Amino acid sequence: MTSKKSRKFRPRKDQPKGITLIEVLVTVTIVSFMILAMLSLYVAGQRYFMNGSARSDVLRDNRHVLNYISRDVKEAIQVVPAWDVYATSSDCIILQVPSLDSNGLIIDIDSQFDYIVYRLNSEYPNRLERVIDANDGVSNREDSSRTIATRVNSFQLSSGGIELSGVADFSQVACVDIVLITTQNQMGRTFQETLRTGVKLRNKAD
Amino acid sequence: MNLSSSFQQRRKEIFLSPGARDERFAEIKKVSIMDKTRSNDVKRKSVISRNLKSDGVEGRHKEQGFVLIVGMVVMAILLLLAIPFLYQLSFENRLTDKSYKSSAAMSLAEAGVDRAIWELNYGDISSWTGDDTLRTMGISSFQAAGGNVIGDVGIKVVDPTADHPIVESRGTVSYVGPKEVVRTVRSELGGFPPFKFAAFGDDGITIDQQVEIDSYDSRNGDYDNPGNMGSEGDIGTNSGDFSAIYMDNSSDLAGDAVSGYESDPESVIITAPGANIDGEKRALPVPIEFPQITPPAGLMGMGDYSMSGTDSIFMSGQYGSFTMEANSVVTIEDDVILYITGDFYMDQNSRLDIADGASLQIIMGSGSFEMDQTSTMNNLSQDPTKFVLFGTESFTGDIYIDQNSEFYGAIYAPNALVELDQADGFFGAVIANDILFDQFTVLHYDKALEDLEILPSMGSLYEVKSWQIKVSD
Repeated sequence: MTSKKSRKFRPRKDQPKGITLIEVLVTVTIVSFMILAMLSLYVAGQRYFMNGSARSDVLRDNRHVLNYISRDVKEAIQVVPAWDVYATSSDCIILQVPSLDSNGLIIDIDSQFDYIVYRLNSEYPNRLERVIDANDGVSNREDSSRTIATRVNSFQLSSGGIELSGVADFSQVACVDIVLITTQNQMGRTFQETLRTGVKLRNKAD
Repeated sequence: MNLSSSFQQRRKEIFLSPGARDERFAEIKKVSIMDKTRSNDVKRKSVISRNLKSDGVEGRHKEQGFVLIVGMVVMAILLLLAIPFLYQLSFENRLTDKSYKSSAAMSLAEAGVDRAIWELNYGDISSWTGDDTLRTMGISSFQAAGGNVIGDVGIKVVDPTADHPIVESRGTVSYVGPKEVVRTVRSELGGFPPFKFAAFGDDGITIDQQVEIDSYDSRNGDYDNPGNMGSEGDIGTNSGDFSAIYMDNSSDLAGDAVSGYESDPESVIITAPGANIDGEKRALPVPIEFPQITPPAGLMGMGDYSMSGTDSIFMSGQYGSFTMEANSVVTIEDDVILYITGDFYMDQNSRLDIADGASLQIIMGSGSFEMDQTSTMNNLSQDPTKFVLFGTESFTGDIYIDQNSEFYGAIYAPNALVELDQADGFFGAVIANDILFDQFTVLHYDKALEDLEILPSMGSLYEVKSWQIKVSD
């Protein structure tokens, strides 16, 4: 069979060399299909990549915020039920932290305290705020209130499996479990990412 | 000679051979057919060979086309498209790598603090470089269990022989090229703070009828100050035995009752009808191990002390026994430690004053501590932290407190039996092996005692008092 086919399509010596229009058209068609296939693959890949990148961004932002909170919780002496106008609940935590001197060192862990509050903004509940109420004239910390995360979907606080709002005796809280859920819109899609961590209060006396 | 000429030769030989003509022609015809068949085969082979040649390597070299070029162009386009992906991946990879190494550096720094604490408690810190003002130690190329090198640790201990040394530990992990991720933890060490409970009896607590236990904070003024009374007068035990904590009827506890580690609080804490616990019954999350007291070295030996008149004490000392006879008055005028290796006794109407601004620590080595009902331990500052009664490991005797006025002080005697008969109020806290609250006794736990430590120089192990991540070196 092979020999017959070859014989049939074998160009004769007197035929002109070159590419026929049909050959060009066939080639262009095939290449177009190939490019189309590659482009669709690329677009799909890019979409997946952008989605992954968006999730990665959300996770990175979450991790940064969690690191921020974790550090304050680690340095906290205790979680207090209420301070100023704030009250510790399932989405608000008030930390009693030691005041710091001008070198950033703890002044006296037994008597000089600042308070740091993490809470969802009451007007914009997708914003997570960090409020510092410093020991005026003693601590090197300054009173401040600033947003540390936007697009927060949920900020949940618990200790030993009990939501902080249900804790009866805050002096027993030695570890805080934090769950932070944020969302991000990317290419018309909404991504929701959850990060959770458990942090021990290092300055709480056992 | 080729096959065709051999067939020709054969035909010639047959033609010239003798024999019948018909037979010779028939033979020649047969040979001719064979020759033709062979010729066709040869032709066929020739065509196959040519066709094979045109399909072969030699033929391809002669073909013209652009598959290779198209392939290369496509590859180049794909590579160009992949570059942003690769860049982004590299960026993500660096971020993840840095995050991992930050955690590793922090773990190394924390491990350094733990190493320093171990060295202070069980090792030999003097083997480290430096002197009693500063000791340092470095660990290069610290390896994980699998043998992977994590990084370096540098540890500094400031005032390593003091009761509150400072430990700074620095974890360093190499990042990219010469860059490093550094985390530093600073920690102040201290002793064990024992007074976390209003009353803690290692073996148990017995609470008689009409006993009341609650809390206040002397840092906020007197117990009677508005808002100063609290319900944090927790009592506890390390025991898991049935009825290790017993509350008789009409006793009232404004706080939690805590049983031993992994015990059943309901079987350990028994309340008679009418007894009340404001807080909850729960078990200890971990057992509490109380350090044994070591009397300070170098106290001056004072022999036996017996006073029948009036006296003032300004200096610490070691006494064989300490007796205040009836109607005697002794005033503690400074920060004084009395280490008593025998009995302590206050007879009728005797009075031991602790001047405002002074403090008294009595360390019982053996014997017993007893006060007559009419005697008075008069802590003039009304600050329970200013009078602490300690018992050493060898003090397994009784401590009996019964006075007709308010008593301000704390008792730490992990091997002793303490009996309180204090209807006029005991302001402070009690830690003992067994505690007995007599009828009508009132205990107001002072939360200010939480900060009082058993110092390392008195027998406590070093533990973390404060901990912080140091931002800059």
